Amino acid sequence: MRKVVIIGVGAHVCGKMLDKSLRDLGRVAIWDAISDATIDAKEIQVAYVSNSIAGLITGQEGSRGQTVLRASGLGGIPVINVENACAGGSTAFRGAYLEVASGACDIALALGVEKMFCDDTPRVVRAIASTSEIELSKMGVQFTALYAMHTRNYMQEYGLTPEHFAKVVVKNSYNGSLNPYAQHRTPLTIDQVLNSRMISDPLTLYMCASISDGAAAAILCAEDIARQYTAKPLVEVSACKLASGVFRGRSDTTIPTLSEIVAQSAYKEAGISPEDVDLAEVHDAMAPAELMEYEELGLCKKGEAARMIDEGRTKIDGDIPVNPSGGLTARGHPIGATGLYQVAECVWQLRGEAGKRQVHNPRVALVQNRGGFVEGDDAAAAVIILRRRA
Amino acid sequence: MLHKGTTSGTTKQQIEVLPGLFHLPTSSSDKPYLIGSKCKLCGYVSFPKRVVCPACVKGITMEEVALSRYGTVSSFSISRVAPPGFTVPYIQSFVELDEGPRIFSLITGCEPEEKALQIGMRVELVIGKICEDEKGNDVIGYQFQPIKKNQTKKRGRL
Repeated sequence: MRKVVIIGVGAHVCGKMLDKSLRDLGRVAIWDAISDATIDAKEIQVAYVSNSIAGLITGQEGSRGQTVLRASGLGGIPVINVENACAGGSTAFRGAYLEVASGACDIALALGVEKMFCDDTPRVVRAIASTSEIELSKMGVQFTALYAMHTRNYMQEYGLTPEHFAKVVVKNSYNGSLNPYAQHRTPLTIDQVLNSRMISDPLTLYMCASISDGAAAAILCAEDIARQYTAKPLVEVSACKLASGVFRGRSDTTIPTLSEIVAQSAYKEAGISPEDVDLAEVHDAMAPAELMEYEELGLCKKGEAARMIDEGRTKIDGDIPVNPSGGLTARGHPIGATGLYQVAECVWQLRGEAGKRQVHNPRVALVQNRGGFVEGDDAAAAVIILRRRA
Repeated sequence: MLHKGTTSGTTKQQIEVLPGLFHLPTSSSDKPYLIGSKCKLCGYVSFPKRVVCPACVKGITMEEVALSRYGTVSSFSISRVAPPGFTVPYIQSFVELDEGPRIFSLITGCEPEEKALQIGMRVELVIGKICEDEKGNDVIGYQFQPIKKNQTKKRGRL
């Protein structure tokens, strides 16, 4: 496999944009990435486009990627449409990565684009529910409650309180206030988080990522030709791992979680250990998930995540900053685009371009993205490890 | 007790949420039960029923079985938001059936309050209305309700 580097990233601001189409959102992300890479658009040889729910929101069920790309002037290349629930963005990234790593192409585009807001809220709710087993929502499953139930078990096992989750939101909302791409830019207090509307106990409104419109893109290139295009620091893809949920038998908690399995394999491929990670963008669809992910990713030992957040170690100026972008809860969670927002944030951070939210001199960044729920496990989980080249 | 084919009103229909999940009693002596499957090779029990065993993965090895009507709450959440047709607040839970499967279920028969529930509490199967569809029909599904202590026999079979 060839070495692959990211030479350009771009994104549209996250938020509620009823007046913008998928094409509008995608165009901004694509052309920001093209400008960032300083390539000619015609040099893109393949595109992977992630979208999860346009079929239900806008009615564009097929050819989603082509409709967006053609409006941005891109045609004549293979376009692969990717759907993988909330992990679609990282899945599209993986496709583009493998195209270049395998030698099939030299320059590949990964785009995630999603519109979730529309004037028909029940349709949005149904669309989100449809990203997991549809039978579950017929039985009354509400996605927040799945996280809530998992959270209750976690709290019982390790003695956490809702204040711990509120601290995650306080951190991420502060980070989001520094991020021009963020949907929510108001720093929240612990009391505001705990006193916001209860959704599924113990999860309050501000602990949950809200729906969002957005798009983000990355341009990947074979390392040996990258210097023809860009003078910016090169960001190497050291590992890109994806897996779907596994059979777990009974309530056997000794089986690693899917994110743990994927992270271990990514660390092995990158030849690093969790201590080498300088910053992480993780999937805080609900705030408690971020704490569990500290443990799943090996950023701390089992049961130590509460202390991590109590001690402020994952703040931007902490020793292992997590979600400097504001994460899903503050930056926003346009589901099929989220993985590529995470990648874009890591690239900006590794290049030292993250402005007020810049982490001090990071070398290694980790993305963790997950999605869907099938037979008691995540439908998909991905871990990407990025490294700034010297 | 619900009976197959009865309707609660003049225009309302009763519709099973999904086919093949549970046995709907046909008489007052008939008890409801969940329909699962058991692997002929490794003995793994699943709910809902399936054809390929997810444990040993040796092809088409599972056959239909009637499951116990009892289980244990392994987690729960009182939700204030719900898919269309469900009444909030309502209790969502994971129930571990006595045969092993950990299944999603709504909890009924107690107040949707944290103090009414605890992880580890014993529950029993009830079949009844879980929500209304967009036409106002009753959607019939399985739920679990708390049971009294003298009924908490393990492995209670039909």
